[in-house]
Amino acid sequence: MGDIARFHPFPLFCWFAAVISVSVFVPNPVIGVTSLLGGGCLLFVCRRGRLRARTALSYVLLFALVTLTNPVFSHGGKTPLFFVNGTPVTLESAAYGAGLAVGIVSVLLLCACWSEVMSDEKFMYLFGRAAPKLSVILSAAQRMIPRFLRRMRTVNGAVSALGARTSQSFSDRAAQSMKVFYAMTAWSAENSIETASAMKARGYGLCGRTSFSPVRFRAKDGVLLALTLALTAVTFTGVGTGALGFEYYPEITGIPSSPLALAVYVSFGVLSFLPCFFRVGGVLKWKYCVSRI
Amino acid sequence: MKVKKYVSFAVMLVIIPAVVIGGALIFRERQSAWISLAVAALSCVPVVILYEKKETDARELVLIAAMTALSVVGRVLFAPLPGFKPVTAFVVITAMYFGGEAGFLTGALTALISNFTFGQGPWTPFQMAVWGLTGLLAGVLSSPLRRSRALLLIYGALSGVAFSLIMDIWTVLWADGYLNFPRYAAAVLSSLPFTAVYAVSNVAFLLLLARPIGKILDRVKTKYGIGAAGKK
Repeated sequence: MGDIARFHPFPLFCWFAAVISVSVFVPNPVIGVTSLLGGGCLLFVCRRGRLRARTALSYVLLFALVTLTNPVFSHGGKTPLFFVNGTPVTLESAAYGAGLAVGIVSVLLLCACWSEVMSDEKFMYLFGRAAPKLSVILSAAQRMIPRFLRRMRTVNGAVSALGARTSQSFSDRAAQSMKVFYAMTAWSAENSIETASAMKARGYGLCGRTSFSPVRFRAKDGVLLALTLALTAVTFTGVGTGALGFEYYPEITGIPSSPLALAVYVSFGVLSFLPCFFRVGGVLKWKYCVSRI
Repeated sequence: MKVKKYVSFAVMLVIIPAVVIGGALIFRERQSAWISLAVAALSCVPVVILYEKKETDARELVLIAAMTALSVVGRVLFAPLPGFKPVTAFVVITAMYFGGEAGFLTGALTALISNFTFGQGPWTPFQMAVWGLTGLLAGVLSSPLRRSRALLLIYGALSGVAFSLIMDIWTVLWADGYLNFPRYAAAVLSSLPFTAVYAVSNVAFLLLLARPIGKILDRVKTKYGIGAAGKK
């Protein structure tokens, strides 16, 4: 993850929100392909070049599935390619399917990047202040998950040590497992009360308390935020004036190429590759700024 | 505090309609996908705001966290069996013993936290809303559900079917941008095995877990005087 995950959560969130919403809701092939490439590139960078073949194949399969099934379900469009049982399979509907598939796959790629970059503590930072109780529950639950698994092992060990795990019959073993699970549940429920008492004793819920956060907003984050906002503004201006209008039905229109549309393509292109640029910049710096001491 | 209250009302009365209308105007092509996503995400907001404003015991918060953690662990442990997960059972049980809001939070947060493992995506708000609402409704019905085991199992089966049907709506909106009925029918048909697995697993887990875990929760409530048991 390196550089990208070290950005402040807020500009990262803005970037994801901008790119995902543009690529979902602007049905323009150039925009779609740009965000597909941008998302793929970012995922590649996030996983440091370790993109498994299976993952890539699943995206390709999804792409093919959406493209090929769309003509089955919609028969709009003027140019029939061939007829199946008297219903036309049209060029427009196949193209619409491909456009759709580009949008869907690029959003899935971006969501995979989101999962890599926006870790749970970033999420907590972003939404914690808006909903303090919710974020207490969220963080407490996340703390409890590994503890539960450890407790399950402890109880299991105790039960096995007592010789309860020797039966070969499936029903006996299942009953034993359930017993372990109930013991763990009871233990955890009682323990939550203790946790809550400890929280209260330390002043949880009193007013005027601040919380610690290791996140800092640095100059780099400001640059990312400013660029994201500016480029998004240009893109939305283009979308709002209809300069990117593109229709599949009843006939595929030409790809818009007015000066404004070109400006939007360039700015959205820069926007979707923005984190990659930062990462590449970081790598180059690391490589060429060798200390000469 | 007053300012906060007005802000929360503003969210419900102004921002939700503004997002829906603005989305419909700007993104004509994919408006239903946009609207449904916005509504799913924003439908969680009022419940959360109400819960944030209410006086709550720290013990209740931690217990909800424990139930959420249990259902996440359950979902992760049963991940090898697709569709077979105890989440709904935990959500319903929590709602029965700690009320609808607790059920809602358990459901919504289970979806959110477990998707940190399973992968976040545009489906996250839908899963949050559907599991959350399952819990909210179970909280409303809590006393009949606690009295009648048959009703509880029926509720589990129905919520499994509803989960599948609603997630299929999401699939179609996502793929087509509008509710394309032939595709919806195809999606429902192709997910029939999953629907069945959801319903069966909900019934199985409720049958297995409702009584013992209910006993544990009841005991904790009485022992430490939480919720209604504390007021008696």
